[in-house]
Amino acid sequence: MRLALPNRHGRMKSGGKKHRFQHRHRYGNAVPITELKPGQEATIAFVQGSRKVTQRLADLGLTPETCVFVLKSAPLNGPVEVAVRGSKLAIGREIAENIFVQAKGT
Amino acid sequence: MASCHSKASSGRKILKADLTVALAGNANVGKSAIFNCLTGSHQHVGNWPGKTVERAEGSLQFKGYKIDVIDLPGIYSFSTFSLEELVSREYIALEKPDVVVNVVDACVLERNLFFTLQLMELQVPIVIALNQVDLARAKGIKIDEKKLSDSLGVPVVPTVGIKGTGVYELVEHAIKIAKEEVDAKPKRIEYGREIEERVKKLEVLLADVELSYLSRFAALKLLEADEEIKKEVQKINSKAVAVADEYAREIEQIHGESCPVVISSERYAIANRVANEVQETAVEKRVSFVDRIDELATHKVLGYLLMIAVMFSVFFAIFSFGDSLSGVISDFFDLLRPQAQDVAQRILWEGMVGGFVAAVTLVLPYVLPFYLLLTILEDSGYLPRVAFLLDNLMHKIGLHGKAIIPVILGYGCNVPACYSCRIMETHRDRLIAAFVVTFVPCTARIIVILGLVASFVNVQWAFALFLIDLVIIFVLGRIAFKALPGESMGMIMELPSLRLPSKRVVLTQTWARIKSIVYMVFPIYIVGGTVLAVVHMAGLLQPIEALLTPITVVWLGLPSVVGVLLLFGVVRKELVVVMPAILFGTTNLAAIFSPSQMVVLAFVTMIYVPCAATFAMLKREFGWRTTTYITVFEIVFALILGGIFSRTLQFIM
Repeated sequence: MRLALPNRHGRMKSGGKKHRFQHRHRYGNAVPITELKPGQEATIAFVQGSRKVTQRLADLGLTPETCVFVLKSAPLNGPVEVAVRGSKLAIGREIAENIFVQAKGT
Repeated sequence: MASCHSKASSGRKILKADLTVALAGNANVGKSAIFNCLTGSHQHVGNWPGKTVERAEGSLQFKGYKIDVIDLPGIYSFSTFSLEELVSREYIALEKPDVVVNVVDACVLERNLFFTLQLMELQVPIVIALNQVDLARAKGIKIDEKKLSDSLGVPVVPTVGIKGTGVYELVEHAIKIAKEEVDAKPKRIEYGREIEERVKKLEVLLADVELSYLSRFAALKLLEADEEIKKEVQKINSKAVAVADEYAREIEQIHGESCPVVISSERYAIANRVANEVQETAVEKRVSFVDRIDELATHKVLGYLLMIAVMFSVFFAIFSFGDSLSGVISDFFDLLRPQAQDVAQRILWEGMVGGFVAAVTLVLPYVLPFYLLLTILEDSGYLPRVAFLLDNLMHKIGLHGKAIIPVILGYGCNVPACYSCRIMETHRDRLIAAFVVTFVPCTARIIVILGLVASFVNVQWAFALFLIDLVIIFVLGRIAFKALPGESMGMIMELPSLRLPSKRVVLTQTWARIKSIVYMVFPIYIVGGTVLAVVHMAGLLQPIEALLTPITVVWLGLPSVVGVLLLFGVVRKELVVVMPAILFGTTNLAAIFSPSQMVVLAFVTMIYVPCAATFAMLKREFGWRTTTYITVFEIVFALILGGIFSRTLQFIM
């Protein structure tokens, strides 16, 4: 057996869909994660930023379509605390503002 | 079976073979607990050659094998964006340890498996230590380790590192794997079709190229735009790099995400699937005691109060303990001082022994409790909470929250503080943090400020000096932030679960760190002390004083004796207040200095130069050039400001 990749619906992904980098267009209702209220659940739409930042976020589990929770926001535009894949992350405000999510129920 | 060092090491004496075991895994998964359990006190903490990444090595004897254990830095991925990741990947791929023990936190299985999958792609012999299974169980997470082992093709041993549970079995498995007694080949990880097709084509291109990595691994990393591997392949087969770039663009077109993100997402999807297959999570969610503490620790009001309370008690403990103990140590050595003193004896006593005593009175009362408390705070997971609370403040000087940790440490002793700048991600951030740290008044400088200004002038002026210092830190931090080239990164940091620190981890870690400091500091102090004693005996103090009068008397407006004081202060800054007593035979410093002179002297002492031990630490972390720049800058800066200060004070005081 090999470790193969299922898609969200349990089927193997099929190629062919042609998308350009039109994140905002694709996710019209996506908002920065900093706009969520503490305790609110959301899924990641897309992440902007330098290669290094996006890679680090992806390595820590913040990949598109991942479910996240905002736990806390430090006062005075401080960092946000996010729960993702069973761990808690502190993310600086300027990075968090570039993490776009779709709030659950929208 | 609960077993640990005592049992693991009680092997027979005959050494059949040497094995190397590397411990790899995420940060905060209890890796060092397992490392300490395996190696006990037989460990050595140093640096990776040429890199400021901590390298912990140790050894154990087990069933007649002598096993070397290397504790790799805690990392989340092999994307090589940090030195730690690069060091770990190169070690595993190039130096090929006999077996890699992947320590996995059972509480955060999915995130940990993301790293496991990348280890498997390196096709090295792996054993998984499924650690902290007790904590996971308490959280209602049940993991079927048999299933996990089957789905990855890697043996899995449940462990509780801090208690030593399962470590014996872990070593047994590691030996079996290393000796190829069991057939355990990690399963191949298969990505989506678009990626697989391109990886296979790239593999063909790379087939006839001699690389330090497997061609499939290299192909994947080329698609992930890995700088190191790109560089390596570019030299031999530049076509492959161009093709990979083209493929990456195609994948971006298909998925609408950058190719590295697509690959990471797919890897996480596999990790997620495996984790869901093998673990059961109880739905019931109770708010535990630890959760409550965590809630408090990052609370927007109470969190700050707690932080102030914790920091205050840490400083109070170190300061009161250190102050009394260093007095006792000095008195003790004074008792031993022989009466008959010819020149050679005086050099021996005032120089070498004096230097030795200076080192002891630095390390024992201040550095030791500091490292101890630091390790406790570190192991408990509290420090990241402080960084979270103060991220905003640190942004003002261009650094992010994590930099508060070296700054706080700096108030105790600059030496461990400079060392702890390693927690910053980029070289530039490390440098700015270390630069800022050298302006933080350590206990020795606090003694000078209190001993000179608070005792003989008034408390307000002492307080003012601390405030001025904060302003200097702020302004210079900002300037360094603007002036230094290189990149900075915002804060992305895991907040590990809070826990009671493990006694064993704290003690062995403190000990290992102290050892490396001792090797560095003692020779400097002994040599430095001897040189000063020789200078003193040779009657060179007066000429030096005379030489320095343009600066000390003319510019700073201080008595000429200050030249010598500042010279001694390089070795140990508190000597600035201790020496006048010895030279003039009076502890009433008011007889020597006017109030404004005391303020100026305390000010100059506060910033004029990193002390010898800090200098050595800076040199080790940043090299000669940077250290010299910092030192020269601080001398010039302190003198210029000191002179201006002295002239201004004439009008105020």
